[in-house]
Amino acid sequence: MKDKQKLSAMPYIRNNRRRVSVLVISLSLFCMMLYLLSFLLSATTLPMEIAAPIKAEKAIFYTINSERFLDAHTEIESIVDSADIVREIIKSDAPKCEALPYIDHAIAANMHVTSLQALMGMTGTYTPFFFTTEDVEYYLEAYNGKIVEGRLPTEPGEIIVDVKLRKNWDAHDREVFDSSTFTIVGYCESDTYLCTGIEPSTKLNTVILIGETRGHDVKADIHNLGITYADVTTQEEIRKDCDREIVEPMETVKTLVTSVATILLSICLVAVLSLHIHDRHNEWCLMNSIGFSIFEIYKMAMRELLFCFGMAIGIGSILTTGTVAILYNTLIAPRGLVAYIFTPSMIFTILAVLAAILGICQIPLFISMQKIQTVDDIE
Amino acid sequence: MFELKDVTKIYDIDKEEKLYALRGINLTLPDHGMVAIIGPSGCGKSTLMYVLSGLKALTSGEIVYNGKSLSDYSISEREKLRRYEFGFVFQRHYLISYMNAIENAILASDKSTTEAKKKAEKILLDIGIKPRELKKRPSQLSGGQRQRVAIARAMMNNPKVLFADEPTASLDHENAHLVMNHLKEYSKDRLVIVITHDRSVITDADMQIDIWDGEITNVTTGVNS
Repeated sequence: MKDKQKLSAMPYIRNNRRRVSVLVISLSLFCMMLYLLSFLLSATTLPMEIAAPIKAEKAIFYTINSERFLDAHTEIESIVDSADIVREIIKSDAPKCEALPYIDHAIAANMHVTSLQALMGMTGTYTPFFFTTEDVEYYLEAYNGKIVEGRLPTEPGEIIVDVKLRKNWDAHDREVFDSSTFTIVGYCESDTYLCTGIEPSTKLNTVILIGETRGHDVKADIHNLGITYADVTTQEEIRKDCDREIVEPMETVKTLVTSVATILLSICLVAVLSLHIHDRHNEWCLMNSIGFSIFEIYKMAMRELLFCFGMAIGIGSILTTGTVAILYNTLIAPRGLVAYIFTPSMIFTILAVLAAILGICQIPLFISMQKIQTVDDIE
Repeated sequence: MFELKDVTKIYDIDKEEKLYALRGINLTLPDHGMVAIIGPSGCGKSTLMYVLSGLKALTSGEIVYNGKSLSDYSISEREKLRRYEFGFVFQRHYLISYMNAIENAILASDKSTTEAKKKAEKILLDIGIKPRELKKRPSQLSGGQRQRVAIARAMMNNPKVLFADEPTASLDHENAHLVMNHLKEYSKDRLVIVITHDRSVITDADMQIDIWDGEITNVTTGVNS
């Protein structure tokens, strides 16, 4: 016997545009919401990660551990009261670090911290101030910084600021440095929210180590150089701190919102689908009576659902792309922030969530298939 | 084409008060022609149609279709029989509400959509549906028009057997005759089984089976001659 014509999903879709549209748009908005959530959270985590600065792994630093410093230098009674001696020790320690083969430059600096307002919350960004323009250049180079406007600082109190950071300060109407002491003489573009300059005071508290430090036990090496009082902050530690304080809480929020939204949508969808299936009971009974198998009816119902999900992915992608572009240009970029515009992992998550919802929809669908009767039973 | 051997159908078989819809029916139906099954409401006419078409299982007895017992057909084979060899006009039409007349008619068609639509249009016009009604949905059609769409759907695959349960119930006299003439024409080389309680519509039947309380009381052949 011939078996040509299949039960098409299109008649239902074509003739029930309003119902189908509501389902498609709901799913599209759901996809968009999940992606936007990830996008907006990344506008908080990514600037903070960059400010940390995790992305540029060429510069690490050490500061002085007061207790160990005083133990090593018994001639000093107090770090605060012996600023000049401390300064000279740090200055003399710095070149010693260059003995390490992976350290290109070790520069004594006075470390400040400036603030960065992310989309949610605020973070600090390390701002070392040096004593020579050459040192500033080394630091700039470590973060792929290029002057795009103005010049390099040459005099005490002159600073250069990354364009992103400047925008961030401007967006929040914030003047971080006292204008009577500091003058911005140039703007740069860099891998981080870079801000550096020439130290106006004589203070020193940090040694910046520029070089490829990954894979090296910098702590032990510095200690072996006799600098026992160095508190080395490695990239791994910055990363761990950043993960613990910024990334993980945001990931928790993302997971929580995604899960709750998925559960709620699944419940709504299963409820709507159950009503929808109930409305179509007689139709499916008729189909079975005139010779379509229950499996063929199931396949038709699945094709209808898949069509809706497919349309939702398409429309959701367009809506999301548009919304991301608008938000990036109106909310993110003008504040000097950055965000992950294209996040493949989130796309996979959304597809997985849709697959899970489709899976949950199988429950009412399977139940309804079990209930299909032939016309003789319902007459 | 059909051979019924001691066919019995009991509803509520598990209950104390059993309902005998069919009682030991023995009958042979021809390969073509119009067979009318007549009887009052509740006498078992529709049940006979359902057991003949394999929609309902028998309680006892056997129905042989083209030399093979219906009970020997698998579920899938029975589905294919219903789809390609049998056509159905049910009492309550069972049209799909969101489809128009043509879409309803081609629902189970075995042809390509374009071919099927062409054929459906011809059948629908032949049985009295007006061109402007072809695109109307069931809710926009009268009871009679819906009945005719159901008939067109049943005829789409040129089934060997067409089961029609009260096919003229919703039609006026003129349209009832139009439909019956069409069915009669169809029955020249096919078997059309018409179930009705109205004797006036089956004057053209080649065989008339009277049923009363689940039993055949009379079989008349060559009624129209």
